[in-house]
Amino acid sequence: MRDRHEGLLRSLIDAVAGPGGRLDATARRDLLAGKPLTGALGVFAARVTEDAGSITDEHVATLRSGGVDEESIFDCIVAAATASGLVRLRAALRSMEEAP
Amino acid sequence: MIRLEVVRSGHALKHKLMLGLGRFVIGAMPPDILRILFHRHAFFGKPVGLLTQAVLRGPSDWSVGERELFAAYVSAKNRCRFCAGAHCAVAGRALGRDVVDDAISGQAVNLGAKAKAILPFLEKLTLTPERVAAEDVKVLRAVGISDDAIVDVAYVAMLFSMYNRIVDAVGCETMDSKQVDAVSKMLLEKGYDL
Repeated sequence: MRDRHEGLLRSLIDAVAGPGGRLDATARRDLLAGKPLTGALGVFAARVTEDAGSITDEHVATLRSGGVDEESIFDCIVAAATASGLVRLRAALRSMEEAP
Repeated sequence: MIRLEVVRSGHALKHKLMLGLGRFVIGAMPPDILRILFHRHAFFGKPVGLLTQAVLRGPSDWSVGERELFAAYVSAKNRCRFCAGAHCAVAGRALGRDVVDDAISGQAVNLGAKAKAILPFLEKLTLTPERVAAEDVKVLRAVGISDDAIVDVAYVAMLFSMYNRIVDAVGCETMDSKQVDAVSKMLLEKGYDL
């Protein structure tokens, strides 16, 4: 099966996992791989994945007051959201492979 | 209102200028998503812009209007008012607003057979991706949708499932009608590679 966008997708994933991020790189890679993070940032990332529309100013304020800087919160949002997108893409590609 | 100060105002000089001039170029206040895409541009905005441009404006069996409709449809299913509003407007410019509104409300009577057939697949992929199966793909192939076209739709679902979450988590303000009008015109004419 041909995937014309594979190279650009790889560039996006590499950028989000790469040196331009501010959140710890292991945490970003884990989020991209769909692995849960521990602690308050993990709870927040799960909310981004499951119901981003329910996020309020208070959720972000709680992270800040717990010592998470804004750049890391931004990276967490981007990585968790990208992972949610990848779940959909992979589900479609897998079902295409499985269809005779 | 954008919840992160760094996204609201922490841009490099080049992007501060672009945001400042944006209201004259676009003809309305720049939408909040530009602040997200310009924040550490190389980290996210640049690579995602290139991918979005390829998926929504590159060669495809689907028209630009159909792909914008799919973006709006995913966004509506995810209840992302910001993205649904913007992409309904872009699709409406290309396909006609009635066609788009009908499709979003589940009555795709004026769409082509292939676009009509893809919407249930897109809904399943958006809301319950774990349930997508080979049978769903067989239905699409049976109406003549090519594998390239299915992959393109899967990328639309990927991109907008991602954008919707980012926009909602960061707290982008829903655009007013003047912004929607100006931004949809710009997106249709110029695309996404910022």
